Amino acid sequence: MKIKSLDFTAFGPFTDKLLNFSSSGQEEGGLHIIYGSNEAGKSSALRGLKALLYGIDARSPDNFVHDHKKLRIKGCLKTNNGKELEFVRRKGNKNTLLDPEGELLDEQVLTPYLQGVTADFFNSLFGIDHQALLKGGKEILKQKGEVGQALFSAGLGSSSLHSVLKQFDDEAEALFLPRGSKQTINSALKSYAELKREITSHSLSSKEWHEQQSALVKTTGELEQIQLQLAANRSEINRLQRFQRVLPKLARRRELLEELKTLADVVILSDDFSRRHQQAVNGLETAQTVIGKTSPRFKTLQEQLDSLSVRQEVLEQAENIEDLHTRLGSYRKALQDRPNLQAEWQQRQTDISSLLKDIRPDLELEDLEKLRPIISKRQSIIELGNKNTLLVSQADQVENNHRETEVQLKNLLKERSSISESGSSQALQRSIISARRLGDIDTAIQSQQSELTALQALCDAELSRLTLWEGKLDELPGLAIPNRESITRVEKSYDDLDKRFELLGEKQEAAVDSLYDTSQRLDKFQRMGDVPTEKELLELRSNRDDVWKLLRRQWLGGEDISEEAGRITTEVVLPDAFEQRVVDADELSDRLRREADRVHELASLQAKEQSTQQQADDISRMFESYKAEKKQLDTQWQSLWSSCKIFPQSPREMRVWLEHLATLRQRVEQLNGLRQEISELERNRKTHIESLNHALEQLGKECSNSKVLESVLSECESTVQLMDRAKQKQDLLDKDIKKLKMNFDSLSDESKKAKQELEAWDLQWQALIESLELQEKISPSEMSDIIEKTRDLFVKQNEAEKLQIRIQAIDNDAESFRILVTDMVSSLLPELSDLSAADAVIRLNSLLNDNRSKQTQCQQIKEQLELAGSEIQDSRAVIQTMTDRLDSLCSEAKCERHADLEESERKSADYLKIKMSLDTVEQEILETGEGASIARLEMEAEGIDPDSLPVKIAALKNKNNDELEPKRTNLAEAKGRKEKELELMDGSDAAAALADQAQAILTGIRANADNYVRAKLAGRVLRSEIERYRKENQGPLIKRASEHFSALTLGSFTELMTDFNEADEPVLTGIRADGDHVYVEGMSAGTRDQLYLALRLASLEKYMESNEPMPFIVDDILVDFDDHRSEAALNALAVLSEKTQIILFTHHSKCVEQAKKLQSKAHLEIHEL
Amino acid sequence: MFKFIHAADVHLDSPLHGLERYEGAPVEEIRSATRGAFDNLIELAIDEDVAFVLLAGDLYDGDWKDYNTGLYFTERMGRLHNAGIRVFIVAGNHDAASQITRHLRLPDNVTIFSTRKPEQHILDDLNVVIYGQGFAKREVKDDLSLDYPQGDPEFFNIGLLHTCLDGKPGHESYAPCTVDGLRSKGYQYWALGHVHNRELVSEEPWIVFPGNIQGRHIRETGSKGCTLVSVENGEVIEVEHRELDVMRWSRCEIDVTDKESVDDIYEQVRNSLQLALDAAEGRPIAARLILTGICSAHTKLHSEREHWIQEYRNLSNNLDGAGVWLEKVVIKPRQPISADELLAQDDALGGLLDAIRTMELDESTLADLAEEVSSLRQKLPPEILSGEDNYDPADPDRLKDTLEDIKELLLNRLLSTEQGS
Repeated sequence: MKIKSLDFTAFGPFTDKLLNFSSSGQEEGGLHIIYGSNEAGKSSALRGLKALLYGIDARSPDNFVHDHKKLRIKGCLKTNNGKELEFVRRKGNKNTLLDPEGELLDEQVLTPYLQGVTADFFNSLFGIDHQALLKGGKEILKQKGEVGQALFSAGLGSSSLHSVLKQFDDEAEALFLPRGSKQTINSALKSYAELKREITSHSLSSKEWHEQQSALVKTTGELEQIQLQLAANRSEINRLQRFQRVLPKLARRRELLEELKTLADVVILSDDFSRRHQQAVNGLETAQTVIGKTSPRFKTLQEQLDSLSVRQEVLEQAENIEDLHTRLGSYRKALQDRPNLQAEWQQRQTDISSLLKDIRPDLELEDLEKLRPIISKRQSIIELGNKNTLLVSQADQVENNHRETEVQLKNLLKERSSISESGSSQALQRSIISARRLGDIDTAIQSQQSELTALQALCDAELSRLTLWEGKLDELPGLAIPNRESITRVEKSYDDLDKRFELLGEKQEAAVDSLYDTSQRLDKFQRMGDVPTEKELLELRSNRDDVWKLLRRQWLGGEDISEEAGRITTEVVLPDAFEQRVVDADELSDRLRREADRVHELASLQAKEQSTQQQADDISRMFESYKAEKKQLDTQWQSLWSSCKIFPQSPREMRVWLEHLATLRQRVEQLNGLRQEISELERNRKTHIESLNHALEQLGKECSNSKVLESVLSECESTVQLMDRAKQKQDLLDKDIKKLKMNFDSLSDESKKAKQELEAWDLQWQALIESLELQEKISPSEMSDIIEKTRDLFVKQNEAEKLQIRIQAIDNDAESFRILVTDMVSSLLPELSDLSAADAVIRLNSLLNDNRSKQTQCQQIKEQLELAGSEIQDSRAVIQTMTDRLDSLCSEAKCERHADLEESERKSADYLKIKMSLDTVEQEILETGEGASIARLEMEAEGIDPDSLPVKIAALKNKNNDELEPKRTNLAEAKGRKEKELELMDGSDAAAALADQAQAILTGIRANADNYVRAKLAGRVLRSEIERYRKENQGPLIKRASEHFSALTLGSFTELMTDFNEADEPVLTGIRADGDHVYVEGMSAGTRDQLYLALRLASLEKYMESNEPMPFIVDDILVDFDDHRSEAALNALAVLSEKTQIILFTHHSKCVEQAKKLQSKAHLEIHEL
Repeated sequence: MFKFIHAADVHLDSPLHGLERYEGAPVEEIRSATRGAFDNLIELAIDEDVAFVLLAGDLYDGDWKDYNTGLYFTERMGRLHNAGIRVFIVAGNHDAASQITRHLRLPDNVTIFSTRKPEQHILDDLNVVIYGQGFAKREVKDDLSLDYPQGDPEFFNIGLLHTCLDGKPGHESYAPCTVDGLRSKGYQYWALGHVHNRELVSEEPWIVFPGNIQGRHIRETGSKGCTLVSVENGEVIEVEHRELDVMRWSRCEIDVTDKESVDDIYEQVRNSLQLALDAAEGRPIAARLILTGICSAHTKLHSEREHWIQEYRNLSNNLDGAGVWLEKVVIKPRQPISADELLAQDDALGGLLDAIRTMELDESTLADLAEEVSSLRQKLPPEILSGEDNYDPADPDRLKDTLEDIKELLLNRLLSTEQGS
């Protein structure tokens, strides 16, 4: 299979990139070098080539220009027997193959071209790149030149055979080694064996369970026995111990019963008898004691009461006396305070006169009230004084401002006068805006121009490529070329003619063949001997008849015919000649009859020859007419083109030419359009520049001499900016001056107003001073001092008045107090009338107190007397009650006197005590007897010897403790153990779970064993196949590889052959010119790469001997080769390219150069990306 | 009206087959699966208040010796006893071989039929007769049903029998009998066991294989359980399948044809496993993943086989549900272009493939190959070399299969090494 063309319609960086491998009309074979510098898309092209054959990879990186969906590669393949297929490959999961019209194609259509070569296989056997070459070289080293592996590797195109083999070995060894232990399978086998043991140990056999079960039953029985025995013994011990406890109690009971018997006739008194008796005796005694004590006290009290006397008239005046006594304190205090008050009043008077002197020396104390207006008008005086201060400071402030404003105004006016007026920039601005609306016209012109240049260059280049027509670009649009329909018509006519020509050719060939065949057969026929013909017979007969006629004329006519006879026959006499003729004719006639078949065949052959010849002649004539028609068509065709002075090629070629022309025309149109656009733009630009310059002139500015709009614009814009800025400043200054002027005027007004206000105030002040009758020329501050002093003066006067009132009040109170005291004393204590009022009041008070205490004492004694009387009465009643009670107690106890009661009480208590002891003992016996009745216990106890009890009890206890109890413990423990063991045999799923685990391991082993077998056998199969391949192919392959190797190494090695290494294995050896053997280990890395290449080339040649060749795709393998070896390699590829198509991808121009210089008859084509 | 449960082939404590353990596998969830399923049976019997339970053979696994299994069974029978539910059992081929049954003392609600001759048990309260005979030895080749008595028309007659019926593929041919033979006995219900797939053989009378109650390997996929039968006035009125299994086996076959990349396949695997898991209704599953079809990602899947198995395991560990145990990953896809075309070519690769084909046909070469793996074979335990899922690496048929794999393997390894740019 060969690739005729490869068209990257949309793939990688390409759009409609066509690589035509048959463009020069040559066969597609040969060496095709696809050259592209870095980034030109060499890798994409390489991928694209493979993608065409085997589909575009799902994750293809070649979608950076065209979307994945749009990727398309078109190609044309051709087999060795001339079959062709043109198709398109798109990207997708399925249905990726289309015919050129876009209809779906079955992938199967590729089968005759790919011949079962899979993508992987194509990659490996029919592709080689630099990486693979290096890897192949290294692999040869790894294989130590082992011949089989080296050949097999090259045969597969694989560069990792050794690694594959090693991988199989490693995999198998990691899984299993017969004597290993750590390998996956080995260790799993071990685990499995262990698990099996564990399952057995966790499993429970039925026998084991039943043994355990019956042992438990036995132990439980024994345990129950021992427990019964233990219980019996314990109850016996209990019984004996009970008797031990109960016997003394029974004895005590008997004693108590005896004692009771002796107290049979005692009167049993009630429980509260003793208490009642005691209460009665106590009550009696208490009452008697009370009477004894109370009677004397009653008498004494009566005497005291009689001795006390009280003055009733004093008690009646009690309230008045107490009132006087209370007022005595304040009376004394007032008398004491009076001198101080008098002194204070004096002080105030002195102060007042001194203050008056300060304010109005002209006034007396009596005229004080004349000063009142000062106080009453105080607020307005102060306000007026304050107003003065405010007015003065306001006037100052206004004056200052006025002066400052004047200075500022002067400065501004000076600055304003320095700025000159300038004209308006509006016209210029309008021009600028209109120019700006154009956009970046300079760049546009520039880019259009560069586009124009590029397009011009492109058009020129295409024009120079446009064959057949000599002319200039601008003549192109006007070129009168024939229309498509005419071309199609002519093309069809040509096609018809071609078909006819073909048909004629075929017919002629058939006719020639037939003619040749017929003449062959005729020749053969004739060589087999003469064939008589009717013509010959006729000739013979006519000859005979001629001779006969002569003879007859001679014989019958006697004519001399010798002259005529001499013409007919010369050798013999006429009759002989006639005779001979007759014989000849007869003979021929006979032969004609005898050889009728041959005659017939000859005739038919001749007829056929004749008709075939006729046919051939006809065909020749038809050829003639075809030629004439063709010539006519040619003329017609040429005349079609004559108007444009073109000598046309075939219509098909002309159609392609026309397409080129159309493209070119389109470009020329573009070119013209572009030119027009540019001139339009430039005109526009010029107009605007002029308008701008005009505006500048109007403003008196200098014109710009730049042709670039942008620079003119920026000049204008900066002018406008400057003008605007000056205008702005002017306006600002005018505004400020106006403002300041207004300010200055208002300040002048204010200053005037302040002065007027101050004068008004002076008048007001003066009037005030006069109204107060004060001296003139008093300043507001002096005035405030006078106000202060006046206020002080009035305060002091007020205080002096208050003191005067208080002194008067004290004198009044003292007088009224003295009158009251004198009255009281004259009525109650006339003897004390000469005492001072104060002393008299004290005496009166003590008299009142004395009478009051006597009255209280009298009352108390009366109360005590009453109490004592009632006590004596009560006690007498109690004595009677108690005596009655004692009498009734005596009758109850059946005794006669009160004194006997105690004896009766004692006896009754003794009886009750014994009875209680008896009850206690009986209760104890019942408790100790644990449910047995006293009678039963008495009965049982009768036969028991108390002394034997301890011995019996000890014996029983010993038996329990030393014998039975240990046995029970042991048995209970044994039972517990057995129960526990049985409990463990509870139907656990431990063993089952382990079995699950064992199954898991078995599964793992099974899977790994399978992997092991696969790896092991794969290695084994591959090795034996390598060996077989070596045996079958070693000779011719090594011979061919040897030639390549010698050539590739430029004769550094003369030969490649097999040798045997120390292990007696066949290995590759290079032979030097001097006969030295070099093993692969001794070769340089580069040489090994060449060895690998030699083997690959030899293997390819072998492949092609028996299989349809496939293109060999070589990707830049020569990078590391020096110039000479690179040439040698290219040469080797060129030689191979005579047998199959070779497509070499390279980035290196040197490689292209070298290829061009190759001295090879192989066909070489360079394709640039 | 009364109900009864018909179950069979419990195979108590028999291990699950084919589950290699790996990190993240739901080991605990699947532990004691047969017991779990049997517990479900006991619960169902009590919940549904059935009158009796029929166990149609193969209660135990033949070579399982742990008496604990028997004790477990006894305990569960005790529960049925407490609930007043009777149990009728015939021994199957596995029970005949089991050592557990010999000494087991079962509560008195459990009746085990004789293995010498057919017996009948009359349940007067229900007007039911149950006929049955167990396997006396592992291999019973006679038709046991022949000796079963004729049904009594006054009663509801049930025949309990462990049989392969007229032969079922994958099951040993024990106690064979015919549907006509069974019909002729005039019973209303034949409770059969031995065949692990549920099958309603006939409805007139009812002849039923309930299948086993818990799948134990990949050939026993789908829902497993027992048959719950309702009887009224001496007639079957309802026969329902009730699921008992605690984990389920599932084959996830995925056609990867036209999948562009291994990632697409990965997503498809996820979906398929999730579907299987959802179908198991909250149970964990053991799944076999089978990738079939022609696909361009083929080479990658094959050459990174172990990696992808690991990826799929991780994937299954992270699915929503009760857990997936990936039993096996079978990668079946073949190269888009058949190797046969390569075979036709006279070159190194064609030669290799041809050699493999020759080997497959040549007994002596196969013997040579068997020799190559004999050291492994010697070490393998008998449980692998024989038994249900026997694996003998030296077996010629297996070697032929292996060669097919090797062909694929060699093609992949030799051609998939990186070439070109």
